[in-house]
Amino acid sequence: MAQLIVDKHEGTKTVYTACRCNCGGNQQCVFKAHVKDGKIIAVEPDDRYNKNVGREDEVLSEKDLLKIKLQRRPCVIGLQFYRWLYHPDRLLYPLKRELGSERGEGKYVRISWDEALDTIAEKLQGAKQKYGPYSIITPYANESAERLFSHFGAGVTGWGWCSYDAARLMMHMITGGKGWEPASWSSGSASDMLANTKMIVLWGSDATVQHQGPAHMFAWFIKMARERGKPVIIIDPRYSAAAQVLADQWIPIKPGTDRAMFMAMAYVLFMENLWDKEFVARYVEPLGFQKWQEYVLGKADGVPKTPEWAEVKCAVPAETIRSIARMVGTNRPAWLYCHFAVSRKSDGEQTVGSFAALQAMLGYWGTPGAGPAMHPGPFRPIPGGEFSGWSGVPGDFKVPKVYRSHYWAESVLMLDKVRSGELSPKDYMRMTGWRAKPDILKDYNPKVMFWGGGHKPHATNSLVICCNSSNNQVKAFNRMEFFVYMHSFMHPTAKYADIILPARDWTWEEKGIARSASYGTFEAVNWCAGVVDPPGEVKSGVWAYCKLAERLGIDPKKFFSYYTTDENWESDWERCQRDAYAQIKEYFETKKGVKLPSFEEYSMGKFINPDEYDEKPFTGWDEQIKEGKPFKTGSGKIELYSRLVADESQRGKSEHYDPLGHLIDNLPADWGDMTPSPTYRAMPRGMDDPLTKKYPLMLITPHSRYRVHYLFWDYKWLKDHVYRHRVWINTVDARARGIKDGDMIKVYNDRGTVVMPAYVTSRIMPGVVVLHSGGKVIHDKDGVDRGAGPSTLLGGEFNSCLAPARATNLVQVEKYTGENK
Amino acid sequence: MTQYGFFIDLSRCIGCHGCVIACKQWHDIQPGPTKWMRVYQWEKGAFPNIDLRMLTIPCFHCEKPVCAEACPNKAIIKEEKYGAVLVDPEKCTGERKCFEACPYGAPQFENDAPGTKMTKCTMCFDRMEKGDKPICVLSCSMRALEFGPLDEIRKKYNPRGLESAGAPACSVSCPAGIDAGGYIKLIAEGKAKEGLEVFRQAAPFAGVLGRVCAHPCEVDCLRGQFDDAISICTLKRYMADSEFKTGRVKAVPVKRTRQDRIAIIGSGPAGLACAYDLVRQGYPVTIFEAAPQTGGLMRYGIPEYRLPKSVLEDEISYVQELGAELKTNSRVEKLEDLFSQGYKAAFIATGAWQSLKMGIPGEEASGVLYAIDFLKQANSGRKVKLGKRVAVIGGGSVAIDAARVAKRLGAEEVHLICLECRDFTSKDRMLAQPEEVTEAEKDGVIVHPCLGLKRILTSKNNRVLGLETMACVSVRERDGKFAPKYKEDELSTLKVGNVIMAIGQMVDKSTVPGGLEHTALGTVAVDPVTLATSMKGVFAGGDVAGGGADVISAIAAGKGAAVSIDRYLSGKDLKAGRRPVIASRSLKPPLRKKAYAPLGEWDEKTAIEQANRCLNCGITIPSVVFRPVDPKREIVPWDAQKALELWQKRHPDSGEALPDIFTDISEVTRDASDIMGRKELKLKPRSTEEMMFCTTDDE
Repeated sequence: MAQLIVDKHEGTKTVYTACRCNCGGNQQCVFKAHVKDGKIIAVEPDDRYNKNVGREDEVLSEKDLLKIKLQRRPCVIGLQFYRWLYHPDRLLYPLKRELGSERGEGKYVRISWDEALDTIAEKLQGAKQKYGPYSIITPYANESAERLFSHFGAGVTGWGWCSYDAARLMMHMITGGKGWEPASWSSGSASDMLANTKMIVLWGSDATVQHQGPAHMFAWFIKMARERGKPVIIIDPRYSAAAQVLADQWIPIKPGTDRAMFMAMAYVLFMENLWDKEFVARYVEPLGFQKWQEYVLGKADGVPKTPEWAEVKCAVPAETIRSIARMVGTNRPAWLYCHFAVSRKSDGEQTVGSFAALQAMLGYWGTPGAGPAMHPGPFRPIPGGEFSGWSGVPGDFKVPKVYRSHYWAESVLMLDKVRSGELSPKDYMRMTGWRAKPDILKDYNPKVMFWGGGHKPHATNSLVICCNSSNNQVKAFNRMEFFVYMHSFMHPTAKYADIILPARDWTWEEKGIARSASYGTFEAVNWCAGVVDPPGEVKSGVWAYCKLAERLGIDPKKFFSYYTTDENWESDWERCQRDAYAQIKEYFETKKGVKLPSFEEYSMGKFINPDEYDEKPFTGWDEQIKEGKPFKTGSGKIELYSRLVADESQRGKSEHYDPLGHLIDNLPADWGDMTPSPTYRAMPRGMDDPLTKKYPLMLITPHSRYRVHYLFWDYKWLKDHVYRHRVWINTVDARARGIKDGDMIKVYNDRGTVVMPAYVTSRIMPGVVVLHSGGKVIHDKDGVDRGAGPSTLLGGEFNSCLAPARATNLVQVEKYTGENK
Repeated sequence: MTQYGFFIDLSRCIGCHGCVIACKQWHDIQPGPTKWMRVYQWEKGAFPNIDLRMLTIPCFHCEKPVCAEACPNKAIIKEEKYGAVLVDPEKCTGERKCFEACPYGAPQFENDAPGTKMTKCTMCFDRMEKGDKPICVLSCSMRALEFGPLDEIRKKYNPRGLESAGAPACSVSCPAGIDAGGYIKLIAEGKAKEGLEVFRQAAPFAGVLGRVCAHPCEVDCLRGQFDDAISICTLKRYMADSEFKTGRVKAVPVKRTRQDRIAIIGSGPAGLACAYDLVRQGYPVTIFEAAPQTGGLMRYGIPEYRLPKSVLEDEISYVQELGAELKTNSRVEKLEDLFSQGYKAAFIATGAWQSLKMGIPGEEASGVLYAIDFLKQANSGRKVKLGKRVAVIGGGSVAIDAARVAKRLGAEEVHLICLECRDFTSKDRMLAQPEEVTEAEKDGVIVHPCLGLKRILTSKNNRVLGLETMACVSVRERDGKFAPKYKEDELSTLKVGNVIMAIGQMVDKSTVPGGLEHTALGTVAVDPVTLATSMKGVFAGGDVAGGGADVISAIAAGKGAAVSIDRYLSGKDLKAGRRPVIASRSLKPPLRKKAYAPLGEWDEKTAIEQANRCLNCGITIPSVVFRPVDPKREIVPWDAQKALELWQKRHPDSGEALPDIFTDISEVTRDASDIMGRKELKLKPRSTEEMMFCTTDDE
């Protein structure tokens, strides 16, 4: 019968390589790619462990399971990622906007690299001369651009670019661990959970969608815990796949009110004496704890935060809150987990702070099986940082950070009002997250947009996602005299650029150490093998920066210290990777006393699984809790009260430093209405905001399983193939509006309008609608977004800009009666 | 050939389509409706009983591929090394006969144009040849899938040891081994009459079982592993009712071909089933019934509203018409008498008619009744006097029946008190079927779960005044052993005039002919395989021998005894090739969900529709084992009604009054299938467009 089946994979070369598409699992998944005639024709999932085993848990010993001797299987996105390389939107050559065409139209002509780079250099120099040093902007805190600017002597940048910035800020304030040094504050791992916990409670977390490790491996670990009889409770306004598969019990909660529940749980723990007094006395700074206790018990404001107080806010019955509090207090250790979503809202930092306080009361910081204190780990202090690979030295010019990254467009547009006197500089600075010297404001004159992926060509951040209002971004683009953009694909943002540079794909076309980021519950040091050569005239992003640096009169070595000549580019690049690996190897060999494979072996598939070299699963806070070293705060303890924020004289300073002298990266000059220790209020633009009279539905924008932000949007392998992009609406809300499943509906508010089909379901609670993150902004002639990118509907709230672009808003929905296109 | 097959653990499947994409990219199938591996998604229910369902499904590579049989071009073959079902593109002409034949939607078409060739899952034959498993299995990030030689897969993953390969799950899990697939297929074709004939190959009681069977068959139904099981019980009733309504043609007596006379003692389901099988083999059979009327527990234990006497009597008549002789008011005291009368073998099926006692204070008071006696009286049409308030003690079907009868007899308040809980997924669940409990509540019975009886409160003249109960925290050990635990300090009292004890029955030795060995529990000692007693030529089964305490188990015993008796009389080995009739059966979880259509009486349209949902696994024999989704558990108390009341209101910090989120709670909990999209599993979508609709996720 074999003649019926053609072996399509005969004679292929196989290469092990990691996936890096900037999802939460960041670089942890491993493929075995099949290459034929310089093209990837298929992939198999990782088979380095337990070859040919489907259910790996059935063949592994407990010890090996906890050491994660497991395949790093890719997810549905990863499994077709290589085919995306051959997508028609792939950028192959440098492009210039066609003369006379409008920005956004997407009409481009091919030019040479020389012409492209010469033009960019000329425009940058021209702007510097004509408009001064603060006229070139790059929205995100892009290390590459910042380094280039620092040598060039012009340019401004933003601060903060992570969805979890609010937590990074709180981490710094509470523990002294710097926001961008996850090794100093990461805690909790999936293996620790599986090995040690007695029960699991998750807030705002759908591990069947999010990648917190290779693909949905974290979900699998939760499921295994459940199979071992550990109760799992999921608290979420959605009846998610996780609620169906992972949870014994689902409890819906009003979005934006998790903090009220934490406070009420704390109240029960206080009243019933279920808190860990010894832990608090030893590790928690007394004033902060006192403030927390006084607030929870109502001594501060006369309102005890009882379960009855909380239930009307979060719609979780008081009896349920009490029971959960008692259970997590007595059924020790419980794995409490509060995911990113709860912080991506107004006052998100307060929610994270409350959670950290709750975990401290329970004595759960650093307790095996008790879950992360705030931010999920693990992240060991392996050299190479969160994004490994290459280095250079900064120049003399101090590049000011003049906005929160996600608010760059507001920072451009609202400048008019400052100049006209309509808006005070003070308010402007608070609203946009100013973090530079105030006197720069008068010279801030944004004219050139320099947006390049640099070391991260898949920079998935763009106008369609992670921003406050897509419409504002388009307006701000159109204010620019010149706009350069670098990416691997014709990204929706690219269509507004004047020059587009084609970059190598980071996963398949570039060699590099693929060190997992700190968002997961697993850890890996993998390798991207540069499986195929890039097509057309696609170049390394770093190479493009070097060549541009040259044209600006900067020694490329200052930008990338390994640079020698163009001819040596590939070997220079590899040298850099080898050195980085040598540091990693040294770390393991000296700290863990193990022999690591040579670079050659490593890059051929012997990737590093840090769990293998530890005796026990990663818990975190070992130094402080086990070894008794102080936290890096002023008091050496967990600080639940920020003396800095309490000190009004600090407000407005361009930079803030912690008592040990480290810059607090995620704190703007003016922190708005943030309180020094956690408090509760009805969320602005939340379900209890009077604005609901106009926009009665609360929009939440969780991640999709099938996209990484924008990436993989216009892609027939995924959209309308294995998933549909629709607006989730509860049956009650749909019925009240005469909407049936599949009807086109209009979702709108003061920020914009989108039109999309409705998914009518009981899986979302009444009064809440869901539009998944990512998507694409496709304006029709009426300015309606037909791509239904959720960012079209976000923003409009300026109390503080500590949380990154808020992922929620209030909206109204109606049946769409207009033309269907 | 070694048949290979899949294990699909739906309790782990998150519906992410990783397997689908892994397959498509490996086999280079372009994006489009062709999905060799499919993930269906649909949802049912409204808040708080929301149910999101996902089904991951490749080709099952059936042992008997009906697709291959259906193909006019012989384009589909069963490959001989691994048992993969493969299609030859050269021979396929796109007539889609395979699609019509396959119950599982496995044949795939790239578009709806006539003549489009079929493609399908190859079991990754290319990979198998290199020693690798199918790529879907190795791609699942939840590790939900496994693959291997089917025997090993079945042995390892088959739920509750349904080890018998090649038989449909419903027949394997039926104590009497009745093949439901056969008659369901006929119902689906609109041939209820023929279906009933098929059923009667096994047993005479379609009407009885269609009403009172505990239907363990439905628990293991293939469809029930991922969707609502086929309601086999209701289909059976439909067949019986269709005949009953129009009137049954009298059965033709079976010709007596055997000389050896057989005595059957007891005319309950076990006795009648035994007689039925033996009569049809040509044996002369006499049934001795001590009571004035036939039917045993079916008549005296089950109330009229559940099982009309007319239905029962009709089905007993059928057995008589075939030639069984029935003698009522005939108690058999001594077996020797029978043998001396010329009977060559006997089957004892006298049942268990003595109520168990709890041994608590007050149990002897006047006003305490025992369920089986109470039901017998009521079902015999005798008057039973009850007080205004009645308590029934017990959580099984008999208790439910007693409570509902008490209500019908005019008791104003009927309380059902049981140790077990209402959570039917718990090890401590009530033994009655969920629907029985719901029906009882509809009748107004007040159910008090998780309560143990401490004592019966009595007056000075020893009349029942009420009960004292204590909270029950656990009923069974993890292994299912009955070992109730109480909170002795959590007491409450209930005023009642009557207490009906329904905690189980035991064998009343005085009703069993003498000379036989009994077990410590009082049942007649029998060989579990042959049902042979300590006396040669005498067999015993049903409740008297510690059977399953339900009608279908009794029928199984009767049928088993018939086999033994035939072998005994033919001088054959009694045991060869047989499985135990009395299997130690652990408490089965009940059905995950109720069936689509309301149970009870179905019209022809509903019956055909429902029968068509059968996946014919008995015919195709799929090379697959599923594990269904895990049940939900209440870890912490959460009151859905209260949660909705809270959800309805807004609470701005300003205190300003804002409009409610919805106007009435019933809007949230009402059925919304009229405005929802994918409400059911459509394994065989009618078009590629519908296929895409059914097999995509909503992110």
